[in-house]
Amino acid sequence: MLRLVGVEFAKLRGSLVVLLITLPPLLPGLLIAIAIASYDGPPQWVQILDQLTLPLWAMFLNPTLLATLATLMGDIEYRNNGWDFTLTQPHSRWRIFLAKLMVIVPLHAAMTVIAVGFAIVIGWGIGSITGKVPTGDLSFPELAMFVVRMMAGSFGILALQLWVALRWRNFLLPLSLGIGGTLVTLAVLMTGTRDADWFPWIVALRSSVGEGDAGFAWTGLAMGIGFCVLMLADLQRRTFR
Amino acid sequence: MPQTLAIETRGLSRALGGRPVVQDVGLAVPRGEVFGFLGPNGAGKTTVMRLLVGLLKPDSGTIRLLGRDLAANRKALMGRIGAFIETPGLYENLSGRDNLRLACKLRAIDTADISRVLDIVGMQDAADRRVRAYSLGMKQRMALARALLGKPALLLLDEPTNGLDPEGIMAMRELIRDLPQRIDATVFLSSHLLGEVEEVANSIALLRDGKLIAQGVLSDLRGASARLRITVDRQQDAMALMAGQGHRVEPGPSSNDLWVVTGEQAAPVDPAAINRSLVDAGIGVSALTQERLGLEHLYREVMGQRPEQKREAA
Repeated sequence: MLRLVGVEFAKLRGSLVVLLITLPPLLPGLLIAIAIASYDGPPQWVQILDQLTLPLWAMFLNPTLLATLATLMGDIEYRNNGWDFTLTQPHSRWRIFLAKLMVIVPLHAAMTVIAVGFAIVIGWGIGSITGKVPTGDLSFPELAMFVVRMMAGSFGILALQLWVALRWRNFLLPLSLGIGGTLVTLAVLMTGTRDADWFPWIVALRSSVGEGDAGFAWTGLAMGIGFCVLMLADLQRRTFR
Repeated sequence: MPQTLAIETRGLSRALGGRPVVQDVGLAVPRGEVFGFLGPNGAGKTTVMRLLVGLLKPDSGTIRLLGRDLAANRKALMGRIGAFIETPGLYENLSGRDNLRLACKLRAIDTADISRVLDIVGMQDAADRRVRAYSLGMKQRMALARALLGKPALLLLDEPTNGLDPEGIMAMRELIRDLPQRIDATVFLSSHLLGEVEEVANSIALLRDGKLIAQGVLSDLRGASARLRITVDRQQDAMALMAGQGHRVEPGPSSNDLWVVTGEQAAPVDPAAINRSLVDAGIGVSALTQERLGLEHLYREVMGQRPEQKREAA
């Protein structure tokens, strides 16, 4: 299995994946820099993390970047007509698809860590330059817990996005799914309803921001495992062209 | 002990979108040679190829590769087969060498083999360039190199000269012709190009509308299609007489010539008897010549005219 995961990582070399996992997660940090510069005095860490970085990441960047990452994973095969090669190797099909999932999970983790880490670094950096270093507690265990909950809560949308990206050649489908899910999330937040707490994108959001309910993280994880099982069963039988 | 076949299918059928694309195909491909799988575009060749590598599952029928049932031994068999179906299918964001490294890793092959296959296809110099910078011919050759990794016992090549320029076609032909000797493998080559198959294959199978029309050693099949060219003084009378005797007759290249088709596809022909009957009917015969026909004639004979050609002719 590790060999297959290594191959899937190797396929991404020379693609845009490095840019994808490093550049967009820098956006919250850049906004923080602007925010610190515009404050009269030093802000609090809780302001720039809990009220800016983490919500921005969880609500908007996380789901859209997951959609893009999953699309890239599928497109690598479809664009190069690589399925015929990949699926005629001496390996079970389900292992190949599982390997793709095992590649996207650490990449997602890397993006989340970069987003949070860069926000802190830029907060220190800009704060030091402008003399407005954020004050208050900076709890690294809480930030680590945010990342863990984010990962678990997002596992449902990650598996769903990957399933759609691998199943259909048209890359607009997984992208549309990701954008659609994000817009629905924004609409749900604007109305304040709790009726959509089952919606995978809402599950991912509620698992890590606001109350950060661990139940949502578990739900997201369970959804992801369920979608994975369905994905493997479906792709196992599918004819790829 | 009789040697097992490289490929053996029985009653192989597959429908796509409710339309039967492959019907009751029974292939018998001997080991250690180039086998041409010939048919017009849309005949179902690629579908058969996809069935042979397990990319499609047959609706009915069985497939045995290298003496083993594909359905029960797919993983083990894929480790002994090199395939190149329809397109090169290389990862264009990687270099040619990286593509080969991926394949080595997937098939647990020593990367030292990369140099050997690059030599075979003549791509050593270009191996470190990204595939997206390759010409189509280079991609085809690199895909062939990838299929050759690990010295496969069976190579399945689907239209490997598609899109190549004449020089590239000639180079690829030479490469394929020599493969059985160079790597001790069976090559199953699908193509719609008659000349290509005729140049490299020992045996062929002809597919039309998803059905196997003919199969056998090329020289035997050529022998099965021959014709007797007769030069007479009254062509129309001679043609009527021959047709009346049950022969397949076609007008010849000049107004004094006619052809009587011989071989498996037609009634047996005795040139002496034909000469005698023409002379007895008062028709002057000035020449009788046996002509062996190329694969092109056999192809036309066996395939017949396709519906669109008939419409065009009308």
